[in-house]
Amino acid sequence: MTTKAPIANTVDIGKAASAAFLRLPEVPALFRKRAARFQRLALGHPLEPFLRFMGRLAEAQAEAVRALKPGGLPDAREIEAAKADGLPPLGGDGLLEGSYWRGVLTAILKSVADGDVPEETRQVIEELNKEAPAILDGRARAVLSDDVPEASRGAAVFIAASLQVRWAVAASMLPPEGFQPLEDGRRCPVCAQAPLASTIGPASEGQSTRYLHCRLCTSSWNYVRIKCAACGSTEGIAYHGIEGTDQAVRGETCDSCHGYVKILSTEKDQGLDPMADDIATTGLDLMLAEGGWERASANPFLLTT
Amino acid sequence: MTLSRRGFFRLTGTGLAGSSLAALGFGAGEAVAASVRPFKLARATETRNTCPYCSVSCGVILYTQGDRAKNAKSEIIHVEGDPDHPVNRGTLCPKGASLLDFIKSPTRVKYPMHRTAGSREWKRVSWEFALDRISKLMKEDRDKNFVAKNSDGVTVNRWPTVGFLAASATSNETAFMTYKVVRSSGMVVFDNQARV
Repeated sequence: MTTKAPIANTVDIGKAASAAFLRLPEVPALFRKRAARFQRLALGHPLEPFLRFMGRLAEAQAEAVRALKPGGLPDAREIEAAKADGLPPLGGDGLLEGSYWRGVLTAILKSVADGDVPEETRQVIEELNKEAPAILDGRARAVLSDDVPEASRGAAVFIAASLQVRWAVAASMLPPEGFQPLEDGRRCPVCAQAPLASTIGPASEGQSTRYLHCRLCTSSWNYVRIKCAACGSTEGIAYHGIEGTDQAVRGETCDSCHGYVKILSTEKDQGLDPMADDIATTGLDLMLAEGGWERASANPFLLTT
Repeated sequence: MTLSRRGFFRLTGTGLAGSSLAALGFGAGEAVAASVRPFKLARATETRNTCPYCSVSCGVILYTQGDRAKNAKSEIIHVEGDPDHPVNRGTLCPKGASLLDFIKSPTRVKYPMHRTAGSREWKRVSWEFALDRISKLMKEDRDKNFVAKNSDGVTVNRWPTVGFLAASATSNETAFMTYKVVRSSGMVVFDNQARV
């Protein structure tokens, strides 16, 4: 038996040696790219109408970033002090102060309502449009603390989209140096939220390190491969994908905590987006659940029981 | 380590029926469940290892396809530099990059083999036979050639006629044990794979 020699990738050693710990988001480019990805994935997908709607929501996020004057940041000295103590400078709910995030919400609601939406969505939009700032802030806190009541799951989508804009805009203005891993790297070093998914690659560009992606501020941070992003174990890690597909998205499962976080290979598909591809691979979640695996963190746009 | 299970959940078809999806009027996700029903989950693993070729000891990741849990045949399908390894940061030299061929080589030695003096053929033998044979020959040679004292009468305890070549990809503990065994036998010639 002979085996074919693998073709070695040419890797720039200098480049490979410096995997940045933190990648801060670029707004609004991030949301525009996401919107395009949702639309591309939607074609012929069993969740096509929802993916198209999510694409419009991401487009509305991009527009809101462009149209509104960015909300403020915490004091520069506070940010540096937090970083020096290894604390997330945008953790907690401090960015709810002021009216910026609610301005974003109003803009997003208007933008989405201009198009064709299901009756249920229209009702949610009307309800949110009428609500007082204090009520909306309460809804925002529920989203931030992962504690959304069942009856608010529809509204939470718009709240989460607005909070993402608020936090991503703030994160994009931060100086990227001096951040430290939070909880051994299992939480976002910028805002302390759980990772939504992780990406690897493209290896052909010398980027085969892994990054976890924040579901709130959309920053991403370097996290060692073959290590559970939910509990930190390095034993009993496996990769579960759907047989007979390209398996660009797989679940990184852990025998220690029985949890999983999805891992996206950008080598197989360069257009992958952690948010869009997570929702588009909900079928994989169903299969993993049947196999006894538990998702380690919820997607704020797809909250379930 | 303590781990809060808060946030962990199974994303099921029933869950989808009560999800944000349904709340916004996009249905209960039955089509998603139906779309994956004909498919099976495929399991793969990635395992960290150290390249065996030289003392630089580059980290590698072995990619294995197959379900060990169900006792099915699993197979190494790819070898790549470990991007998290501080020594090589994902890079490999041409020798390391061809490790898959090394693993799958048809001439790879997988068990102890023995060729008797004068014979042309290698025969598979048991570990017990191989170890007995090696120790017997080593003892014979050591008894014959051991130098306890040099010409000035100083104790030197040398065994100059046998050398030892150790592997490169060893841990500190293995290296310590190897050194102790080799040196306490009196062997003078001692080197590592590192120089090959």
